[in-house]
Amino acid sequence: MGMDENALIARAQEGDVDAFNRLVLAYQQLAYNVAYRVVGNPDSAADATQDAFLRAFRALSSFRGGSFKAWLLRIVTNCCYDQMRGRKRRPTTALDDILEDDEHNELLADASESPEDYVSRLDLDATIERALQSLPYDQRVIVIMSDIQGLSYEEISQTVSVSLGTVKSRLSRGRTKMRDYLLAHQELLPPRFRLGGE
Amino acid sequence: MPLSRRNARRDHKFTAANLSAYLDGQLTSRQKQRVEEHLLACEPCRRDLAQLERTVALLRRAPMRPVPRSFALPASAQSKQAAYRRWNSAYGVLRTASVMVSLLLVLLFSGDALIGRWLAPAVPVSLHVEEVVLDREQAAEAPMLATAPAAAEAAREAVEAPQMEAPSEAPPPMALMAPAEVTAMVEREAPPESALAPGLGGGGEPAPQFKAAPPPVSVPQTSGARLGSAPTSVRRAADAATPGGVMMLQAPSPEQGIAESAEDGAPSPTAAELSALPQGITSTPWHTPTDTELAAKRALDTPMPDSAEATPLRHIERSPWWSIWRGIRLASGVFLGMLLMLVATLVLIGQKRRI
Repeated sequence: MGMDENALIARAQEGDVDAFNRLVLAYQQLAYNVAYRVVGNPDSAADATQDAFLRAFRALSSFRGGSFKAWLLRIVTNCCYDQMRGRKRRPTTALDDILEDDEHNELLADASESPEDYVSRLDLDATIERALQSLPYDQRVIVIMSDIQGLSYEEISQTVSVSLGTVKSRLSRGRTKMRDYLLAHQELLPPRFRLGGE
Repeated sequence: MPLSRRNARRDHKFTAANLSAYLDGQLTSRQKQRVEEHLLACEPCRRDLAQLERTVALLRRAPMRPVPRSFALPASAQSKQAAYRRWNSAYGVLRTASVMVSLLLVLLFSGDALIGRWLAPAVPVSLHVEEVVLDREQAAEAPMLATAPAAAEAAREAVEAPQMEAPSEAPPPMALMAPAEVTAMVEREAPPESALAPGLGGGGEPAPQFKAAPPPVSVPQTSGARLGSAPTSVRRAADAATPGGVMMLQAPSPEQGIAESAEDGAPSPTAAELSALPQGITSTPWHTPTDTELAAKRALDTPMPDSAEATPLRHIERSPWWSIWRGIRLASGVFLGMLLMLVATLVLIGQKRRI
């Protein structure tokens, strides 16, 4: 958004809710997807996302420049952590939620996509979600930021407030665990996505 | 293990740990070269790299989920932002106040320690002075020992006390009118043979350490604790000899005692003799004034007030520094309480302004 974004942020810092809502529109899908991948549950992810935007607006005066995306995602991960602490359980029904969520099914569907491809993507999404939930929280957040959302090491370092070295080591361990999980559960992956034998 | 195998093992470990960073181009050129050289020679690492690449590619294919609804904020969010700003500024003020109070506390504690230390040397005097005042009152009733025999009696008891097996009374510090008189008295009244340590020459010989006239050592009154452990008669003798002034002790110098003991070839006192000593008396072949006695003597040198109620402790209490010290202690307590309240408030406000 560039200059536009800075102007919107400045107006939002003075209390302009409409300016802030324009920022919400630009970042809500990113925020929701990060929240969903972290908590593994659509309802909790929605609550965490709404809470994150509320907090972000309240604390906008503490934003001193730099990457607004990293600053916002930091709030999102904090809210996710609070959600998980509040729930006190790991999401074991993520797959059921995906299959039963009509809105999800409707929006995931693509007109040019064959049913087989659609099911493949569904299976892939579910398997990835299961694999992510098998990771420790710290590694999961960094794998999501890097490999699903495409953030750089520096942006991840700012978001999670850890050093670059910590980002590298956590990402390495998280990817290794993901690989091991996917190798152990290859039957869950569509054939063309399988990693191959050991 | 050959060096080449050790190096190969190190390269393997390094490569396995850095495959992820290698994929993302996060290695230095030297590190990257090291990994690539190892990959050429290591099939398992090549396989691991391939699997890692597919894992990352799979994650990047994960579909973006659509948002279930709009997360735009209502207009009422504006008032919440204003309230947050107030909490935020209150937090900043409280944080600054906490820092200032902490610094003040550090200064107060430092002042307390410094002034307390300055006042401290006078304080122990009060503990002994009160006891000595009581002793003085008791001693005032006892007959004054102004004659040499009485002084010699006390002197002999003091001589016998450090070494004897079981004297009926604890040896007192000697109250002597004059060194020569005491020496004469002791020589005339030799201690019992069995009661004397061999170091004194045994067998009824007079204590050699009294032949010389070492410099007199004063026993201060503040050895009230020590005096308190001595028999009443001793204390009376000590106090009576110098009712309002300084007691003089005649004692051999340590060097004389050692030399004379060595000349006599005297063995140390036996365990039975040691166990028979009165409580609080150390066993030495000679009686050497201790630091406590010297300190007590110094306190004794301080002129006592006429009134029995006006003790040095009350002199200290009337000192302006005492008032300052007490004021500092009171202020420290108040500021500590303030700091605790500030920290508790900060924690509460911190919860409200957390993002």
